[in-house]
Amino acid sequence: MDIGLSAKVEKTVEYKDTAKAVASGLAEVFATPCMIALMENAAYLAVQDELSEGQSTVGISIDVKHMAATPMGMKVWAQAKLVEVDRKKLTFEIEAHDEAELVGTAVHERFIIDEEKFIAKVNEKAK
Amino acid sequence: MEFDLKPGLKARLVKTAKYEDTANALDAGLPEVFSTPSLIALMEVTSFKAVEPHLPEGYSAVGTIVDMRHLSATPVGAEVWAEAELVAVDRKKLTFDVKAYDEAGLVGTAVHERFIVEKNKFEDKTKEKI
Repeated sequence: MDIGLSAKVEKTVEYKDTAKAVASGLAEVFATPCMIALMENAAYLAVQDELSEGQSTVGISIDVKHMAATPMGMKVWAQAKLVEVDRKKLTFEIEAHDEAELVGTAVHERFIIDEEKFIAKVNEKAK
Repeated sequence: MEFDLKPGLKARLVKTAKYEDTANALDAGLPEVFSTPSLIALMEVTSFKAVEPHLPEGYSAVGTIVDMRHLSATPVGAEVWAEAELVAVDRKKLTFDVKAYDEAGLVGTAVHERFIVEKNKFEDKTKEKI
């Protein structure tokens, strides 16, 4: 897993991505949780090809600033870069932009897991 | 505009983790557990609900910062809930402490900031970007 691995994910803001639709606010602008989902997806994709069969990564922490709002219909994208590897813990720096400006920044940690083991352990909680 | 918001306002929201809330629904390579973005959305909505009844007509509060730890995974079918408390008010800036639980225990913690906005003005200003 090399430092510097990166990925970019782009989407156009639809009504279902707005704070109003998510109910995290009333404004019809790109919701913070939706920006975070885009950021996490970019981080996940930056390293997914490097993982062995049966492995995945899960988010364990994110420290995000949402600096500017994005209207419906505008393109928004997240660019994630792997900046640190500590055994199974991966740290990413992420920036989100819309067509006008930088709209968000984040430091995000993900943990490499064995998918079957992880699911089996989680499902034990349901018992 | 003066806002009648004091630390101590609280809200709690419960939901049942569905497949559509899982990381797997976001991407096939991710596990079928309640996703971090879904947990953050629940935390943000709970924070907003803690103050919404106290905002004047025409005002809203938008998320500006989330500093969150996702400590434990939750399976589909389990109940998950968030408890948000307003802990600081600095003019229009609101700070919340948020904790999330499932039936087995604490699953997430966050410090979250929201900013009070005049809804129409904020939306109009945002639309000018297009």
